[in-house]
Amino acid sequence: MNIEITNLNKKFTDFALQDISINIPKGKIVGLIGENGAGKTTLIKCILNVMHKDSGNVKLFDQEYQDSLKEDIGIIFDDSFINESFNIMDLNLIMKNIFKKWDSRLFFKYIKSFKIPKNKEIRKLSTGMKKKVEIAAAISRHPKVLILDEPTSGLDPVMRSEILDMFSEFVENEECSILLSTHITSDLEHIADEIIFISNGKLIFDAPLNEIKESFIVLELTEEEYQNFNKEEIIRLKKNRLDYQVLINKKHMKEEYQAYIHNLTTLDDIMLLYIRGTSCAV
Amino acid sequence: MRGLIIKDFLYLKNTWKNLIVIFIGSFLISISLGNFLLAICSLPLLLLTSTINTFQTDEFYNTESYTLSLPISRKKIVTSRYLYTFIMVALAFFIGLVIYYLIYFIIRPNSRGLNTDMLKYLLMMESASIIVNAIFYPVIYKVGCEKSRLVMLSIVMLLLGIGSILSVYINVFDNKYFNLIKIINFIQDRGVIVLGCAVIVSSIISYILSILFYRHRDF
Repeated sequence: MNIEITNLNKKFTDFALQDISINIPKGKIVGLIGENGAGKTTLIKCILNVMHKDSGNVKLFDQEYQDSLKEDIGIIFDDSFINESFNIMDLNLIMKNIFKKWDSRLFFKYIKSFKIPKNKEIRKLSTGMKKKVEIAAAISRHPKVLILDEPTSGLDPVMRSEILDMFSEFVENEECSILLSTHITSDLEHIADEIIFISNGKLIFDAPLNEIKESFIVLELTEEEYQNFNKEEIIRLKKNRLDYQVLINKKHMKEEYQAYIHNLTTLDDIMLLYIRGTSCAV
Repeated sequence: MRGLIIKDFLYLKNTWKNLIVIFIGSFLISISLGNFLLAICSLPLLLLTSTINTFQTDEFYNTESYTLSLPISRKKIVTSRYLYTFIMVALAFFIGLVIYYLIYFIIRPNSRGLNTDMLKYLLMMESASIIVNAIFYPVIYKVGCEKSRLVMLSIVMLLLGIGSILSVYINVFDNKYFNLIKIINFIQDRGVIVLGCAVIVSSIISYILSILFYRHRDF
């Protein structure tokens, strides 16, 4: 395992991460999903010791946590980076004096391929360009793990697709893995191997994406259809103005339910029903 | 650690134009006043105050989380900031000295306008600046840069308030056990030694407190 988290707890006055146990295996892209304030960033910060955990254990590369092990982790935070008054040359100078494995040639190769001017202040670059600089900085240290917190937020679909391709290339090396926290779950449907779903500080599920897609299906029912539906089969339920959305296990799927399928079930649908839906009292 | 010190110096690189303009302004004022103290001390003073600005810049760009995600221990992060500060103190003194001698050899002002007392003032200013930083740094590491000014002001006002009450109503500063005038005279007589000791002691205490506070801080 590249990252192993066991029974991690972190309590705030109004929120708590509760008993989180997850693994980031080698060669996999693991998606971390959950609503705003679910605890995704807190979890990432606890892994990196940016925040102190109250209890639990974090192992990096099969060793107990040590700061020096972060040499092999590339980070992109949603809202945190180096001073934006620096330019690419400054950034290279800083990074090569921090990371033993920093590869200036690779960094400038990325910068050149992204067509980013070397002497322009980072703050003068577009949002997409800034993100690419961060990604180049994260990858150019030859990490074994990339931990990415909303790396594609605010980017247009073309740039998102380009960046996702870079991530896919990164895990072609089977020693490497990615923990990718994002709100854009459609991105994960294209590249993730596993999904960790956190809601309100609790782990809802941690499973391979294929398994999730094979396990869950969302049906849309009218009032009458809902009344006649076997309530025992419903995992989560959400009443809308005109219909009911129900999440069921695919093993309960029957021939007659085919009529209730109006769209392909997405991670968004599953997440939404878990967060905003209710369990069905029979 | 070296990378973090370089990061702080690069911040300075981006402000050099402003520093030059301020120096030119203070130099012109010095010429008009016929006293070069301002010209000698302005640039060093700016460099010394810029050390606190590095905290502010880090806070503005949320760099703290990123810094803590690097393979550097919290202790080393604090140490690098203190090392940067001491390098800046040395640099500021050196620059002050260079300006002093440049003025001395090029302008050749009369003795009233330039004398060795000015170097003493430069040294005192440096020491005072180190002590101020030594007080500020642990507070910044504890509560962050933005809150630190208010916290410092609160502490100073509280101490002044307590001091006033003690001196006016209890007369604690003027009795046979505690004579404030004697203490002030002692400090004046042994200025360099007292200031030197204050700088060393405050720096050591400040460093230890900063590490303790930063070790427990969440971002």
